[in-house]
Amino acid sequence: MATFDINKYRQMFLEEAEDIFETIDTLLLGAEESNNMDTEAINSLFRSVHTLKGNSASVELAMFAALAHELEFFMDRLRNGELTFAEGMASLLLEGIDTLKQVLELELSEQLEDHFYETTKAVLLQKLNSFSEDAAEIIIISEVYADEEFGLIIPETFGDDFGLFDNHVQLQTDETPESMEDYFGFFDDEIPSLVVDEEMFGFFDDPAPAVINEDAFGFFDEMDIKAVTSDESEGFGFFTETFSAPEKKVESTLKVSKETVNIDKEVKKVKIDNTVSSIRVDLSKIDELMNNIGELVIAHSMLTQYTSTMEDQKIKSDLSERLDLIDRHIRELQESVMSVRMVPMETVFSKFPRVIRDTAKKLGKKIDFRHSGESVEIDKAMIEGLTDPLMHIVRNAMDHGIESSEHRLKIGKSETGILMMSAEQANGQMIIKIQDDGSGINVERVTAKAIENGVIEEHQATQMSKEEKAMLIFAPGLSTAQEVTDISGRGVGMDVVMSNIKKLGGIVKVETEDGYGTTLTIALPLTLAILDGLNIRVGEEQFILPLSVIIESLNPEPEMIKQIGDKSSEILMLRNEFIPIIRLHELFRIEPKYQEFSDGLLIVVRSGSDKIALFVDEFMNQQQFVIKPLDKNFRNARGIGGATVRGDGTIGLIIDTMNILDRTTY
Amino acid sequence: MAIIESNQLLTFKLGTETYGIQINKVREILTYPTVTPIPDASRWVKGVINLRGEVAPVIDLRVRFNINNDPIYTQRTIIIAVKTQDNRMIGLVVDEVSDMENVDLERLYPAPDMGTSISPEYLKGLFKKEEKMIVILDIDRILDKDEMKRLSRQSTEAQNVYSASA
Amino acid sequence: MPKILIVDDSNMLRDMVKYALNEGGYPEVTEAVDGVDGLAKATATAFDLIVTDINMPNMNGFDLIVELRKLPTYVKTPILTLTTEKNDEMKAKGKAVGATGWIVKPFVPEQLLKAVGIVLSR
Repeated sequence: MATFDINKYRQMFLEEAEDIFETIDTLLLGAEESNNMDTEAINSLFRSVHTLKGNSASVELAMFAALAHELEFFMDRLRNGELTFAEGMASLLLEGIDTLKQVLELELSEQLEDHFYETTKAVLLQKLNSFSEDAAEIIIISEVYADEEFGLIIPETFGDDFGLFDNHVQLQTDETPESMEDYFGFFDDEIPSLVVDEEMFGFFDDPAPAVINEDAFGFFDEMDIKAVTSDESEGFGFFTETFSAPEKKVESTLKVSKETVNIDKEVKKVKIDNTVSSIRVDLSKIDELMNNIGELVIAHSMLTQYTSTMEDQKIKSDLSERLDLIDRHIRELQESVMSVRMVPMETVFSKFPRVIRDTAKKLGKKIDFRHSGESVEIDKAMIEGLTDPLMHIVRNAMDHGIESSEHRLKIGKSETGILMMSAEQANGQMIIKIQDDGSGINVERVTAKAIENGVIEEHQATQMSKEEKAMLIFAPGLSTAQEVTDISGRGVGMDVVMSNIKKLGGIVKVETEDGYGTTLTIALPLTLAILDGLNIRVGEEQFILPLSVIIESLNPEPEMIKQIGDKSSEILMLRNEFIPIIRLHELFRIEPKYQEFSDGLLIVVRSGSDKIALFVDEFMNQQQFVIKPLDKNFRNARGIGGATVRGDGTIGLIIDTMNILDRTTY
Repeated sequence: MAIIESNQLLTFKLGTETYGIQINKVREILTYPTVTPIPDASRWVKGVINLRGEVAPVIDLRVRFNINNDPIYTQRTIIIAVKTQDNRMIGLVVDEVSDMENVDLERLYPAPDMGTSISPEYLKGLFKKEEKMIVILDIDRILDKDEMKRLSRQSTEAQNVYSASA
Repeated sequence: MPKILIVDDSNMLRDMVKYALNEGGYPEVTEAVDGVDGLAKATATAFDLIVTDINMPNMNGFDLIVELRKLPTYVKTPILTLTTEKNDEMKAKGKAVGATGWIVKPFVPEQLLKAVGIVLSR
């Protein structure tokens, strides 16, 4: 008999749980901030916790499920009006959700100890109960509830899937024998013509003799004869079987549920208009699709190349025309698949309110988190790499940037610090800004520290602009905080932030103003999968230069070139700017066609916040390339960021201007 | 899933010695295509090629193990494409592909400390048949990711020192 | 070969139901992520059985059943609900909207298949 692969489903559960936790966090934070929770929020909260409970039980996370049940019970009371939202409730529920997360982690790693669990649960329950007028009563209700209706998720009943439901039915029928009548009475209302015996099988329209013989099931039978003793029977049932509860109780539940239905409808009304039906797809499947398209692109360019060698002009032009058509279709296909990879920035932003709230609490600061550009889309593959650095930047801004409330008041700022995060698309790039209205970076202190740590030399510092000095915060091992805190640590991290963003092909810029705050700007490529590039040639080799980094290209006049020191470094003087020249053939150790600048070409490119001029033999055509990683086997070669398969089936290397300069400073 | 060790070997020559790798590691045997050199790479990394859509490095085992430090590459040079345990495609340059051979992997002679060009840590063992002796390579060990990164770093550092003093 | 539609907002649960059904010899399984999606898919194809979650965003399971029962194709089609609760409220509502039966979560493949076997053989 088939069984579920628990590990696989636990993994799926975890993925879904992460999203659900995020939804819950958002709702609760909103409630905490506005000190109010509307019906929609309560319903959504209830549904989220309910899903957590149900799904965790399905993957045998019994403790988690039981705890989720407690929270659900609380939210149910909130939902049906037994409890009203009160101050502090959202914070407590956030705490409860944290406990839930903790239990999940421990239970998954099989490190959850009974004692710890029981204590944690008891503490949480006690706190939850403090919100009800009569705490004692709640505990009782909670227990009864749990036993009767949620028996399945209580750990010890797991071995026996349906045991408790029997007890449940048995118990009720025993206590209220007349309810047996109710059990079967309903059918008559529906289809009076049917005889009672048949009704008991729970089919409206069918005598269903087959089912009688289907003894393995036969629960309605048993219900009649021995008031249900089969273990299996209640694992599933038919609605034609009616409830065992006394009339009155039914009424009250129905009333509640009617409310729920109404509320659900309201929610539906709001949301149904913009509903787009969707499915979850594994990112690797999209990558695979992307790869396939990549192959298609390559096959197409092979064919194009072959066509260009044809002698028959008529065939050649006919073929070219059709190839162009295919090319257009491939591009459209590529764009559609790309758009599948894109998710709104909302996904990234939503991770922050919780962290900011907790951090602010820990630091004793007041912080107003604002964000814009939620709907700007970003390549899903980037989110993972982006979240950590952003998290770090935000923590750092809160810890070192924004001042304490007292200090802010003293210097005439509003008590609450503002932290802004925005996203926009501009010039084919994703621009993310993190802005705070804190004290700004103390550039002199950072510089002093950098000199002290040997990151830069004193004479270098004198030539650096304020921005360049501020960028030193990204140098390894720099922390200017007077005290090391557990929020942003010992200056470990900002350098990691930089390297993570570089890994995504992005750059970081810092603007800071003493006393007025700091703005960090991150520019990222829109996607990690496709690149618009320019083919350049150096000697016999061709390389691909990303279009996004190219500023201009030129044939320099001799007087524009300056040589420095022992003539080992050359500088391009372009409109009052001094731009270091890199001879690509030297960097890549290739025999070039040209040695003289006037024969070849200089291409001015961005390298982080700097500009450099690359000397190449010539540039060729512009093209789209499917990026393939190169670092599976090697550390990154200097100046090379990735690879692609060219039209002739060979590999082309993509130049990464970020790591061309062997910089020891930033 | 248990890792099934293949008893079939693909044998090939590196210099005068005969070596073998398990056939289940081999994906393809091809003649030398256009190899794109990687700037700054170790001498034994010839560059990268397109192997079934993947960017695969080409490693010259002869250079890697100092069997022949100055080989000549022609269109007839042989590359054996292998797939490692962690699913990386890698091309190996060898002198010539010889034969298929059935061996009992349980009954290999341990690799001796001396007498082979390749250090025993990279070998699975020796197989003797009549007069023939086949050295069986531990391909996952040779192509270990960390090992390759470590080696490529070492060699470029050495090169950098060289170029700085030149 | 009966065509079965699974409606659930949880990827995991859909996969579990689908797996159980496939193992039990029902290869023709379609998935929908919520009531709205379910309704759209049910309108496009005539399914022989619908297994739906109750608690879903956009359109919940009960509302879905109400909508389905309005369609001529689905007047008599068996509809099973997946539920965590097996209480009277659920039963009352299930019956009221015209669902055929319920399956309690968590379930093992065997239980699901048994229930599906019964409703399909009717």
